[in-house]
Amino acid sequence: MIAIVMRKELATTLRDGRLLVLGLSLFVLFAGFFLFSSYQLQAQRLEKQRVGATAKEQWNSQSVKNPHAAAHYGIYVFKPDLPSAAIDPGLTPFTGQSLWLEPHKRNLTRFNPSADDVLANRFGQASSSFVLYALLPLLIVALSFNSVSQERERGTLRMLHSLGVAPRALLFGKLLGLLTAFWLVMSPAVLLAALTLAGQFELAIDDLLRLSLLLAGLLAYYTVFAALSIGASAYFRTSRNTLFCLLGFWMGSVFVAPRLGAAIGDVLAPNPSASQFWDAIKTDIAQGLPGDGSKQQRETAFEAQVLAQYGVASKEQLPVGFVSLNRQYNDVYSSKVHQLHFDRLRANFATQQQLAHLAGWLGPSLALRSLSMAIAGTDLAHQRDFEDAAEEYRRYFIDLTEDWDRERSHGTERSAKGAETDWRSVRDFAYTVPTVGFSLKASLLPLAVLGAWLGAALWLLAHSARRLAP
Amino acid sequence: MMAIVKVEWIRIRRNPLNAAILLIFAVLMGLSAVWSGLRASEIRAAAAAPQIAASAANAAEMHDAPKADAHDGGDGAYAASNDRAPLQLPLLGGLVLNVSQADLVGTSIKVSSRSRHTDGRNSDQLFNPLSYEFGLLDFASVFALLTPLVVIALSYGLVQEERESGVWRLVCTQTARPWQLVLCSLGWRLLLVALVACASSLLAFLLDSGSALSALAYWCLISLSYVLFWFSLAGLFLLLPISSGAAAIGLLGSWLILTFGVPAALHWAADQTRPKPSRMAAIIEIRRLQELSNQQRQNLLADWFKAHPELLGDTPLAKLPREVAGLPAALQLDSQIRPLMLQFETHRAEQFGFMQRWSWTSPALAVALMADRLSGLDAPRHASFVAAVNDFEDRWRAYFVPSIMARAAWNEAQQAALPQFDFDQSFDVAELNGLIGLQALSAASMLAVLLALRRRFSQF
Repeated sequence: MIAIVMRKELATTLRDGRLLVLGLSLFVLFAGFFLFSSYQLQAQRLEKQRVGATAKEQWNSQSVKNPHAAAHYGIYVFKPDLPSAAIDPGLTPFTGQSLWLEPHKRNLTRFNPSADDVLANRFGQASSSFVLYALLPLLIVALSFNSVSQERERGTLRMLHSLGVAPRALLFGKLLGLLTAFWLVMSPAVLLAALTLAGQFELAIDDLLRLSLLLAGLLAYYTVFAALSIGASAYFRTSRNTLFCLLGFWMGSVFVAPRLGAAIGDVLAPNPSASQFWDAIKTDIAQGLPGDGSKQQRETAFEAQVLAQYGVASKEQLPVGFVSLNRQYNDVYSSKVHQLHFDRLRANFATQQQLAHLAGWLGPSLALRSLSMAIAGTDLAHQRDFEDAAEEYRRYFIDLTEDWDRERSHGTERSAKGAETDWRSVRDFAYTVPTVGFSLKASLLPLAVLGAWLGAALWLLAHSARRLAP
Repeated sequence: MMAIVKVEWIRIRRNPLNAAILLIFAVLMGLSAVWSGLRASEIRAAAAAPQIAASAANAAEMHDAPKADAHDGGDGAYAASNDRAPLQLPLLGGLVLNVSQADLVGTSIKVSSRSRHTDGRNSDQLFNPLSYEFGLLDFASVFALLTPLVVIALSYGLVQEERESGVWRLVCTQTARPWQLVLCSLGWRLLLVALVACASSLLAFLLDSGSALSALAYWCLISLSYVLFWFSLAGLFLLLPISSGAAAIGLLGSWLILTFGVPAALHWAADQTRPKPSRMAAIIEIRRLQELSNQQRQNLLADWFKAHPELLGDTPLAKLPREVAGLPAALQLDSQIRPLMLQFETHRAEQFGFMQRWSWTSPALAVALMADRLSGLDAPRHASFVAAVNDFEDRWRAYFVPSIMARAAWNEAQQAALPQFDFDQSFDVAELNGLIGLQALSAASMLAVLLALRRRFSQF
């Protein structure tokens, strides 16, 4: 019976003028946004690669100078983007494009694209992900808000009831028919996305897995909207009331819940200001973390330790450069303090993200957006992973320059020099985006919320079926 | 006529759906008002509090910093030159409309004798990018997004449903001017929505400790124009011989196009007119200049003292402290980097101007730009602020550099005569009037079309 209803619903939906008009409009919109963002992503990737290579070459071709002076020239690194970022750019407009690695301090990424834009995505990103999470659910609502109520208004529901069609079979058949029609109409968009990505990027197995997971997430998301639409249509007596309630739900889910969630996170777990953040780091380095002593005390103890280690009476007698040794010692402590504060800051960001899901009861869009960003590699977790890898690289090349400085000078003199062969020996920064398993681990909460919404929507549909009266 | 007005009020009042819609609207606008108002007060309090004047540079970076006993009197000119509290962009009376922009755009810049451009700690703000991706409860954004949806919910299908049920035919036989009923109905709804909008705006402004009455007045004007535009558009859709469901979808489509599509298209067009400069290209150029500056360091130092021989004294160039020896090169480097960084401000200001000229095509865009202007965070004003900071930085350095290069002692008299920073705090009234004028014209045009076609309501 479900299969019969499904086939009938599929035929009806495909013949519906709304599907043609709205489906075509959304396909054009999606295609436009997607082609533009994939072109932009490709251009951005190429620019990052080119600029990264140029920046490294600039490092390599530095003139003869003190190794520490060379270290201060620094190296710029850029976060690579996955092909799936063409579908969901996620946090990219709001995170810095570049990260400068230099001695003594850890930097935050700088120059987020939104700060250079007037509108700064105030009404949402004009991207293919907006079409996917905001507009396509609206299409589903438009196609199905009167799927049962119209039958009631026309009198055909009474006829179906008299023929012995079980309400559950009717509603679930309509659900499957609607989803099948929807995906049939969306399949050109899916094909376009797959062909474009395959043509512009070299897709690895991990990329294909990510895209499949994204598709599965979207299927669950649209099933929630479809089930709720049909259930509401069965529940309410008139199409007008059904449409009104569904549009209210759509608005709440897509526009209100994310903003409310972000505000909840902001209020319950506020971030420090920039000046507070940097000042706290400066204070902890100068005064020391609990039990470590002040900088002066630490340096005094270190000097004594070094003199004892080399068996000399003064710094000037050391066979290695003390300035570099001391500097490296201070830098290790500085890195430790920076790590502590950066970890605290990013833990707070993660807490805000968890708190944001308190608004998830308004709709599944918040969960889908979090999941989508994680799969596309454009979420907080991926950003943190990149920054940690960059920090490891920073310590590597700073330590290398300090080794050269220390080994090529004596006592308190600062005569060490480095040349192009030294600079070129520093390996390139090679960062690999974590696998899809990392994304899934970072998305446990949104997965749970989306799953809960799917379960709730299907239960509500079953409940509406029980209450269905012609 | 008065009877019609009274009856329409009774109809609105007796429909529980209308009350529910307005209540939800009021609650959401109220939440946004409270969040925005309190956040704005917080931002103002932080800006007014004594700022951390000292450089953010930590002790590990200061391994080559001048030692206290290297200068007469302890605190030398160099230390004093780095001891200026960050310069603040004065926030205007409408900050409550747009609080999250304050973090994104950056309102605080630290100047010193060193270049500020390569160290993000001098000007960058700290925020969670996820909050911005989800969007916060900025009052103007919430108002711009929600109001059309409320208008649609209150007014779609007003005539179509009655047409479908046959009631409209009856109405048309009872009155020669059925359009009066429609306009009255829309009028009441407009009044109620405007009341909620104005009340929540008042709440937001009251909660903001630094709000201004003039900003509130301008804001109320543009929000009324915005509400009028959408009700006029809803009225035009009532004329269409389509079902109520189709009318709702059509209005939603209009909302999507005007709120999302048009601003995105304008943004694209602005970029085509004048492409955005590349930050990454700027980074490469800055690094090239840094390396060049490093190679020219000694020559630049020698040249500087050739021009100012009286400040060198008996100290050989090679024995000068690091902060002195590197200063001429640092100043030249900064003079080359500054235009590279300023181009981004200029571009943003031009983009703002372009979008403002075309804001009549998207009422939501006009509301967002108005909020920027009223809060003082608009791109042109920010560009002016950065230009003023640059100018102050030049005066600051002109004041300090001779003393630093001469390794002179720093005294209280010099400290008392420090250059002062001043930046114009007022609204750009002409621009505000221009924005409101465009939006009012847009709303009035829509209303004029509706009034011109009002007799078509008689068709059934």
